Amino acid sequence: MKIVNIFAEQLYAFHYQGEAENEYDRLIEDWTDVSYLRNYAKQNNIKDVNQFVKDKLKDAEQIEDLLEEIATNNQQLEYYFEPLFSTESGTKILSLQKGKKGRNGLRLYAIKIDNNLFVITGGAIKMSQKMQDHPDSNKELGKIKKAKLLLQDEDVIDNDSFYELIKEIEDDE
Amino acid sequence: MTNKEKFNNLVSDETTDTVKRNRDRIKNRARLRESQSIALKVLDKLDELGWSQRKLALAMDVSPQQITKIVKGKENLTLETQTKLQEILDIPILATYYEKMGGEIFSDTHIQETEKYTIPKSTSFKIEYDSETKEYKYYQETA
Repeated sequence: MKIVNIFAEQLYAFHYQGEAENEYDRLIEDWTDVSYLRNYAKQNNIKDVNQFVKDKLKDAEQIEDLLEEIATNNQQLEYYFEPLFSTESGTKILSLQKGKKGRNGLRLYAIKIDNNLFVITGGAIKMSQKMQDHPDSNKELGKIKKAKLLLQDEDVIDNDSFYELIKEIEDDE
Repeated sequence: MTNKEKFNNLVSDETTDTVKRNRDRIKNRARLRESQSIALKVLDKLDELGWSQRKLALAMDVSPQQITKIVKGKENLTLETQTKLQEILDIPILATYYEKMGGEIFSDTHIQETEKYTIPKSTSFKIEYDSETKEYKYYQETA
Protein backbone atom coordinates (compact mmCIF):
# COMPACT_ATOMS: atom_id res chain seq x y z
CA MET A 1 0.00 0.00 0.00
CA LYS A 2 1.22 3.43 -0.97
CA ILE A 3 0.09 7.01 -0.69
CA VAL A 4 0.59 8.95 -3.91
CA ASN A 5 0.27 12.59 -4.76
CA ILE A 6 -2.53 13.64 -7.11
CA PHE A 7 -2.27 17.38 -7.09
CA ALA A 8 0.28 19.83 -5.70
CA GLU A 9 0.88 19.14 -2.02
CA GLN A 10 -2.82 19.15 -1.36
CA LEU A 11 -4.60 16.11 -2.71
CA TYR A 12 -3.31 12.57 -2.27
CA ALA A 13 -4.74 9.09 -2.77
CA PHE A 14 -4.15 5.64 -1.40
CA HIS A 15 -2.85 3.07 -3.85
CA TYR A 16 -3.71 -0.29 -2.35
CA GLN A 17 -1.75 -3.46 -2.84
CA GLY A 18 -3.08 -5.60 -5.67
CA GLU A 19 -4.66 -2.62 -7.43
CA ALA A 20 -3.22 -1.35 -10.69
CA GLU A 21 -3.97 2.26 -9.90
CA ASN A 22 -4.49 4.74 -7.12
CA GLU A 23 -8.01 5.06 -5.78
CA TYR A 24 -9.01 8.11 -7.83
CA ASP A 25 -7.84 6.58 -11.11
CA ARG A 26 -9.23 3.16 -10.22
CA LEU A 27 -12.68 4.52 -9.37
CA ILE A 28 -12.89 6.83 -12.39
CA GLU A 29 -11.88 3.89 -14.60
CA ASP A 30 -14.88 1.93 -13.28
CA TRP A 31 -17.28 4.85 -13.26
CA THR A 32 -16.57 5.61 -16.92
CA ASP A 33 -16.78 1.93 -17.94
CA VAL A 34 -20.14 1.26 -19.61
CA SER A 35 -19.81 -2.50 -19.29
CA TYR A 36 -18.89 -2.27 -15.58
CA LEU A 37 -21.75 0.11 -14.81
CA ARG A 38 -24.25 -2.00 -16.72
CA ASN A 39 -23.24 -5.16 -14.85
CA TYR A 40 -23.33 -3.24 -11.58
CA ALA A 41 -26.89 -2.08 -12.30
CA LYS A 42 -27.99 -5.60 -13.13
CA GLN A 43 -26.38 -7.08 -10.03
CA ASN A 44 -28.17 -4.49 -7.92
CA ASN A 45 -31.54 -5.11 -9.58
CA ILE A 46 -31.82 -1.61 -10.98
CA LYS A 47 -35.02 -1.25 -13.00
CA ASP A 48 -33.81 1.07 -15.73
CA VAL A 49 -30.30 -0.22 -16.35
CA ASN A 50 -29.43 2.14 -19.19
CA GLN A 51 -30.65 5.22 -17.33
CA PHE A 52 -28.54 4.18 -14.36
CA VAL A 53 -25.50 3.85 -16.63
CA LYS A 54 -26.13 7.23 -18.27
CA ASP A 55 -26.61 8.91 -14.89
CA LYS A 56 -23.35 7.54 -13.49
CA LEU A 57 -21.42 8.46 -16.62
CA LYS A 58 -22.68 12.01 -16.20
CA ASP A 59 -21.81 11.95 -12.49
CA ALA A 60 -18.30 10.77 -13.37
CA GLU A 61 -17.94 13.70 -15.75
CA GLN A 62 -18.87 16.04 -12.90
CA ILE A 63 -16.17 14.50 -10.73
CA GLU A 64 -13.65 14.89 -13.54
CA ASP A 65 -14.64 18.55 -13.83
CA LEU A 66 -14.31 18.89 -10.08
CA LEU A 67 -10.75 17.55 -10.03
CA GLU A 68 -9.87 19.86 -12.90
CA GLU A 69 -11.35 22.76 -10.98
CA ILE A 70 -9.40 21.77 -7.86
CA ALA A 71 -6.23 21.58 -9.95
CA THR A 72 -6.73 24.94 -11.60
CA ASN A 73 -8.42 27.07 -8.95
CA ASN A 74 -6.81 28.33 -5.83
CA GLN A 75 -9.74 27.34 -3.67
CA GLN A 76 -9.01 25.59 -0.36
CA LEU A 77 -9.86 21.87 -0.54
CA GLU A 78 -12.22 22.28 2.40
CA TYR A 79 -14.53 24.06 -0.04
CA TYR A 80 -15.04 20.82 -1.96
CA PHE A 81 -15.47 18.39 0.90
CA GLU A 82 -18.17 17.92 3.47
CA PRO A 83 -17.80 16.00 6.74
CA LEU A 84 -19.02 12.44 6.55
CA PHE A 85 -19.22 11.39 10.18
CA SER A 86 -20.05 13.19 13.35
CA THR A 87 -18.72 10.55 15.72
CA GLU A 88 -15.81 8.19 15.87
CA SER A 89 -18.16 5.21 15.78
CA GLY A 90 -18.91 6.31 12.27
CA THR A 91 -22.58 5.59 12.46
CA LYS A 92 -24.00 8.98 11.69
CA ILE A 93 -23.71 10.49 8.27
CA LEU A 94 -23.85 14.23 8.05
CA SER A 95 -25.52 15.02 4.82
CA LEU A 96 -25.45 18.73 4.29
CA GLN A 97 -26.98 18.49 0.88
CA LYS A 98 -30.06 16.46 1.76
CA GLY A 99 -32.98 16.87 -0.57
CA LYS A 100 -31.05 18.79 -3.15
CA LYS A 101 -31.85 18.01 -6.71
CA GLY A 102 -29.31 16.72 -9.16
CA ARG A 103 -27.10 15.15 -6.54
CA ASN A 104 -24.18 13.17 -7.71
CA GLY A 105 -24.57 9.42 -7.28
CA LEU A 106 -20.86 8.79 -6.86
CA ARG A 107 -18.83 9.23 -3.71
CA LEU A 108 -15.16 9.75 -3.09
CA TYR A 109 -14.05 9.46 0.51
CA ALA A 110 -11.09 11.28 1.98
CA ILE A 111 -9.39 11.93 5.28
CA LYS A 112 -8.28 15.40 6.20
CA ILE A 113 -4.66 15.47 7.31
CA ASP A 114 -4.26 19.18 7.72
CA ASN A 115 -5.68 22.41 6.37
CA ASN A 116 -5.99 22.10 2.61
CA LEU A 117 -4.47 18.60 2.73
CA PHE A 118 -6.59 15.52 2.00
CA VAL A 119 -5.98 11.89 1.13
CA ILE A 120 -8.57 9.89 -0.84
CA THR A 121 -9.15 6.48 0.72
CA GLY A 122 -11.68 5.18 -1.80
CA GLY A 123 -15.15 5.67 -3.14
CA ALA A 124 -18.41 4.00 -4.11
CA ILE A 125 -21.56 4.32 -6.13
CA LYS A 126 -24.16 5.61 -3.70
CA MET A 127 -26.75 2.86 -3.43
CA SER A 128 -28.11 3.40 0.07
CA GLN A 129 -28.63 6.24 2.51
CA LYS A 130 -26.20 4.76 5.00
CA MET A 131 -22.83 3.46 3.98
CA GLN A 132 -23.36 0.34 6.08
CA ASP A 133 -26.48 -0.63 4.12
CA HIS A 134 -24.72 -1.63 0.93
CA PRO A 135 -21.81 -4.10 0.80
CA ASP A 136 -19.69 -1.87 -1.45
CA SER A 137 -19.95 1.31 0.59
CA ASN A 138 -19.66 -0.75 3.76
CA LYS A 139 -16.36 -2.09 2.41
CA GLU A 140 -15.28 1.50 1.82
CA LEU A 141 -16.14 2.30 5.40
CA GLY A 142 -13.71 -0.44 6.42
CA LYS A 143 -11.06 1.08 4.17
CA ILE A 144 -11.53 4.53 5.71
CA LYS A 145 -11.19 3.08 9.20
CA LYS A 146 -8.11 1.09 8.25
CA ALA A 147 -6.53 4.14 6.64
CA LYS A 148 -7.35 6.18 9.70
CA LEU A 149 -5.71 3.60 11.96
CA LEU A 150 -2.60 3.60 9.81
CA LEU A 151 -2.38 7.38 9.90
CA GLN A 152 -2.95 7.38 13.65
CA ASP A 153 -0.22 4.76 14.11
CA GLU A 154 2.10 7.13 12.28
CA ASP A 155 0.83 9.93 14.45
CA VAL A 156 -0.30 11.87 11.42
CA ILE A 157 -3.87 12.57 12.48
CA ASP A 158 -5.21 13.16 15.91
CA ASN A 159 -8.87 13.87 15.42
CA ASP A 160 -11.84 12.58 13.46
CA SER A 161 -11.65 14.03 10.04
CA PHE A 162 -13.44 11.98 7.45
CA TYR A 163 -14.66 13.83 4.45
CA GLU A 164 -16.95 13.09 1.59
CA LEU A 165 -16.25 14.82 -1.66
CA ILE A 166 -18.89 17.35 -2.50
CA LYS A 167 -20.31 16.77 -5.88
CA GLU A 168 -22.72 19.60 -6.27
CA ILE A 169 -22.38 21.31 -9.59
CA GLU A 170 -24.77 24.20 -9.20
CA ASP A 171 -25.21 24.74 -12.93
CA ASP A 172 -26.74 21.32 -13.34
CA GLU A 173 -29.53 21.92 -10.91
CA MET B 1 7.03 17.79 13.31
CA THR B 2 3.67 18.95 12.04
CA ASN B 3 0.99 16.57 10.78
CA LYS B 4 1.85 17.66 7.28
CA GLU B 5 5.53 16.84 7.68
CA LYS B 6 4.76 13.48 9.25
CA PHE B 7 2.32 12.74 6.43
CA ASN B 8 4.86 13.70 3.78
CA ASN B 9 7.19 11.04 5.17
CA LEU B 10 4.57 8.43 4.28
CA VAL B 11 4.03 9.61 0.72
CA SER B 12 5.57 7.57 -2.07
CA ASP B 13 8.09 9.21 -4.40
CA GLU B 14 6.08 7.88 -7.31
CA THR B 15 4.55 10.55 -9.50
CA THR B 16 1.05 10.17 -10.89
CA ASP B 17 -0.44 11.46 -14.13
CA THR B 18 -3.94 11.50 -12.64
CA VAL B 19 -4.57 15.20 -13.35
CA LYS B 20 -3.27 14.88 -16.91
CA ARG B 21 -5.39 11.80 -17.61
CA ASN B 22 -8.37 13.55 -16.10
CA ARG B 23 -7.75 16.55 -18.35
CA ASP B 24 -7.45 14.30 -21.42
CA ARG B 25 -10.81 12.71 -20.67
CA ILE B 26 -12.40 16.14 -20.40
CA LYS B 27 -10.77 17.18 -23.67
CA ASN B 28 -12.04 14.02 -25.40
CA ARG B 29 -15.45 14.15 -23.79
CA ALA B 30 -17.50 14.48 -26.97
CA ARG B 31 -15.76 11.46 -28.50
CA LEU B 32 -15.98 9.47 -25.26
CA ARG B 33 -19.73 10.09 -25.10
CA GLU B 34 -20.07 8.63 -28.60
CA SER B 35 -18.00 5.59 -27.58
CA GLN B 36 -20.20 5.15 -24.49
CA SER B 37 -23.37 5.41 -26.54
CA ILE B 38 -22.09 2.78 -28.99
CA ALA B 39 -21.08 0.49 -26.10
CA LEU B 40 -24.60 0.67 -24.68
CA LYS B 41 -26.17 -0.09 -28.05
CA VAL B 42 -23.84 -3.05 -28.53
CA LEU B 43 -24.55 -4.48 -25.07
CA ASP B 44 -28.30 -3.99 -25.48
CA LYS B 45 -28.25 -5.77 -28.81
CA LEU B 46 -26.12 -8.64 -27.50
CA ASP B 47 -28.69 -9.13 -24.72
CA GLU B 48 -31.52 -8.99 -27.21
CA LEU B 49 -29.87 -11.57 -29.48
CA GLY B 50 -28.65 -13.69 -26.57
CA TRP B 51 -25.13 -13.40 -27.97
CA SER B 52 -21.97 -13.58 -25.91
CA GLN B 53 -19.18 -11.08 -26.48
CA ARG B 54 -17.11 -14.01 -27.73
CA LYS B 55 -19.69 -14.74 -30.42
CA LEU B 56 -19.56 -11.11 -31.53
CA ALA B 57 -15.76 -11.31 -31.65
CA LEU B 58 -16.01 -14.34 -33.95
CA ALA B 59 -18.59 -12.65 -36.17
CA MET B 60 -16.43 -9.53 -36.45
CA ASP B 61 -13.22 -11.49 -36.80
CA VAL B 62 -11.54 -9.63 -33.96
CA SER B 63 -10.14 -10.77 -30.61
CA PRO B 64 -12.45 -11.09 -27.56
CA GLN B 65 -10.20 -8.46 -25.92
CA GLN B 66 -11.15 -6.02 -28.65
CA ILE B 67 -14.86 -6.52 -27.82
CA THR B 68 -14.12 -6.07 -24.12
CA LYS B 69 -12.55 -2.72 -25.01
CA ILE B 70 -15.49 -1.68 -27.21
CA VAL B 71 -18.12 -2.38 -24.55
CA LYS B 72 -16.21 -0.36 -21.97
CA GLY B 73 -17.10 2.68 -24.07
CA LYS B 74 -13.65 4.22 -24.03
CA GLU B 75 -12.19 3.18 -27.36
CA ASN B 76 -11.72 5.53 -30.24
CA LEU B 77 -13.34 3.16 -32.73
CA THR B 78 -12.17 3.10 -36.31
CA LEU B 79 -14.64 3.54 -39.11
CA GLU B 80 -14.02 -0.09 -40.00
CA THR B 81 -15.03 -1.26 -36.52
CA GLN B 82 -18.09 0.98 -36.50
CA THR B 83 -19.19 -0.33 -39.89
CA LYS B 84 -18.73 -3.94 -38.78
CA LEU B 85 -20.73 -3.38 -35.61
CA GLN B 86 -23.51 -1.66 -37.55
CA GLU B 87 -23.74 -4.38 -40.17
CA ILE B 88 -23.35 -7.44 -37.95
CA LEU B 89 -25.59 -6.27 -35.12
CA ASP B 90 -27.95 -4.17 -37.24
CA ILE B 91 -27.70 -1.21 -34.90
CA PRO B 92 -27.60 2.46 -35.91
CA ILE B 93 -24.10 3.86 -35.50
CA LEU B 94 -23.41 5.79 -38.68
CA ALA B 95 -25.76 8.02 -40.65
CA THR B 96 -25.76 5.44 -43.47
CA TYR B 97 -27.93 3.20 -41.29
CA TYR B 98 -30.84 5.59 -41.64
CA GLU B 99 -29.99 6.65 -45.18
CA LYS B 100 -30.18 3.03 -46.34
CA MET B 101 -33.35 2.55 -44.37
CA GLY B 102 -34.84 5.63 -46.04
CA GLY B 103 -34.02 4.21 -49.44
CA GLU B 104 -35.70 0.93 -48.56
CA ILE B 105 -38.76 2.72 -47.28
CA PHE B 106 -39.11 4.61 -50.56
CA SER B 107 -38.54 1.54 -52.70
CA ASP B 108 -41.18 -0.36 -50.77
CA THR B 109 -43.70 2.41 -50.86
CA HIS B 110 -46.18 2.68 -53.65
CA ILE B 111 -48.51 5.61 -53.79
CA GLN B 112 -51.96 4.60 -54.83
CA GLU B 113 -54.88 6.83 -55.52
CA THR B 114 -57.87 6.03 -53.39
CA GLU B 115 -61.42 7.23 -53.34
CA LYS B 116 -61.64 10.99 -53.35
CA TYR B 117 -62.46 12.52 -50.00
CA THR B 118 -64.51 15.62 -49.58
CA ILE B 119 -65.03 17.43 -46.32
CA PRO B 120 -68.67 17.44 -45.33
CA LYS B 121 -69.88 21.00 -45.67
CA SER B 122 -72.20 20.98 -42.69
CA THR B 123 -69.56 19.89 -40.19
CA SER B 124 -67.48 22.22 -38.08
CA PHE B 125 -64.76 21.44 -35.58
CA LYS B 126 -63.60 23.00 -32.39
CA ILE B 127 -60.46 22.20 -30.44
CA GLU B 128 -59.94 23.27 -26.85
CA TYR B 129 -56.82 22.77 -24.76
CA ASP B 130 -57.34 21.67 -21.17
CA SER B 131 -54.34 22.96 -19.21
CA GLU B 132 -55.10 20.68 -16.24
CA THR B 133 -55.18 17.38 -18.10
CA LYS B 134 -52.80 18.71 -20.78
CA GLU B 135 -55.06 17.22 -23.39
CA TYR B 136 -56.77 18.62 -26.42
CA LYS B 137 -60.54 18.29 -26.46
CA TYR B 138 -61.97 17.85 -29.84
CA TYR B 139 -65.54 18.74 -30.60
CA GLN B 140 -67.38 17.90 -33.73
CA GLU B 141 -70.46 19.92 -34.33
CA THR B 142 -73.02 18.44 -36.67
CA ALA B 143 -75.61 20.78 -38.00
